[in-house]
Amino acid sequence: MQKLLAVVFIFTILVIYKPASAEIKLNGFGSVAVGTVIEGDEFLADFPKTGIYNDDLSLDPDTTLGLQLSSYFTDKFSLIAQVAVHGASGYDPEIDWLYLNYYLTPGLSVQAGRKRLPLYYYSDYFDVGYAYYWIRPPPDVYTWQITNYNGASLLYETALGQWDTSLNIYYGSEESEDNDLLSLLRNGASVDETWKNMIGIVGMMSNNWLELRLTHMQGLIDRTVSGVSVLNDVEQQFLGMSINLTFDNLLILSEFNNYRQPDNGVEYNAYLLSLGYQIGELTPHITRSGFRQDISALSNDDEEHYTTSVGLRWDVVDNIAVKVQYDKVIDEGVIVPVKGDSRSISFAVDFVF
Amino acid sequence: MNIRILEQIIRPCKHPVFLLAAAVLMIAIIKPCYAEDKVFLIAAKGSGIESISNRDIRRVFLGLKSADSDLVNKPVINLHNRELYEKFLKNVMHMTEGAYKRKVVKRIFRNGTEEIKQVETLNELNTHLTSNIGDISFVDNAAVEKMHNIEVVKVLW
Repeated sequence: MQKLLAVVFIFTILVIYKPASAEIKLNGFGSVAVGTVIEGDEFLADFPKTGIYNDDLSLDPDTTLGLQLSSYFTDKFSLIAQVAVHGASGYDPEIDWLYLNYYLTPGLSVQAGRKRLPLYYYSDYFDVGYAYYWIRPPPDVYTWQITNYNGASLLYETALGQWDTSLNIYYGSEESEDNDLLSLLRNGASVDETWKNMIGIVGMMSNNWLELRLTHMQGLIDRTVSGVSVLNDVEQQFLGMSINLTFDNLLILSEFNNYRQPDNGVEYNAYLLSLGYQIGELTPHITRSGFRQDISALSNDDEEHYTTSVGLRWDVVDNIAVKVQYDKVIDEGVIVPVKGDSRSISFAVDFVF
Repeated sequence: MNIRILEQIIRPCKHPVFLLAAAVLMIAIIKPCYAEDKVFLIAAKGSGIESISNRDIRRVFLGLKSADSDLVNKPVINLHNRELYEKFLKNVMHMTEGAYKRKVVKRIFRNGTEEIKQVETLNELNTHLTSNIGDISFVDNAAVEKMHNIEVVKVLW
């Protein structure tokens, strides 16, 4: 319903505005990936879309194709739309972005419509494999069941001395019927999830060698399992921090997140630490990531998993990268196991056009 | 090679005049080399861009708005000279070509910003800049002399 309202709102604006002379740009991205589990049963490579590798060679869990359309009506006013198909979601087209952008000043812009929920560092371009050196961002950290929101945001970008800075404030909500990830974690039960009254802030600052990102979001959750309401107006809070460093060819990436439902005693922490080194067109990398949910008096869930990844990115030509990655997962959850221990290998070709 | 020839010429004639002449000759040889290595930030004549810091040039080539001047419009990547492009990335952007491309791709798919225009020939660059006042690019000394209705905004190095 909210998606429909967003589409109706945007098309109404377009009809009023009559963008006869709009300049339209099309950008595309894609990842064609194949992988298999070489030890263990299954590997959950993509939490939100539940992309799962097993001991067969599979093309679906990480394969994605997307198109982004940017229509610039004037220097200040534009429409951004992004549609993607994912192998993990049966290649059904999904609208990830559909929003209007208006520059109030050269540094301050306002957006309204459907956007990616900017909880994590790689949230905005999670599906654009070309933009990072992994085949997919570390799954332990990217365990979100809601990836988008419908609402409005305000973005301010400016330079402060040697620093490029930005501040993004957003408000919105999202409904997910028969949520893939929550259904998987509840043995196939149908789970409907709504995140509402979300208000968040994302601050970023970067210079030549250092990039810092801080984010906070809070809102309310409604959840229904097999038609029975289990959460109603439950408060949730998310806090995240990323520190990325670039020393010539050496890349050090990190991300730390804390998620809480204070009323339910639910709390988890997730992190990633990664090192990459660029040698010409090759970037070997190693990453350690983890997710740990604390058991409390109110919650017995003990989801806990760690992944060590080793991989290589090869920038073959200007806009194409070939990747290979080995992932070793240790699943320590007893009450809430995810997919057990596994070792897997995957190959991918990422491109942008 | 040139220095050795000069040494051979100077060795039999220790007179200061010959040394001075040799020094002048060396400067004459070396000076054009420096001139050829100069790289400029350019825009169309009449753009009105008076000063822009290297820090701000970096911002603009990452797809951000200029903080130094409202007159700076969009960047144009000059691929006419591949070596020059790589030096520009190293000296101004402080990143490798791969890192630069990933940064630009991130911004396109994060903010829906326009792709940064790339041109392959000087003629194309000249035409683009003169018809898009405020757009900026980088060229070397030899190239700037071949272009028309272009002004140097800044010596980059």
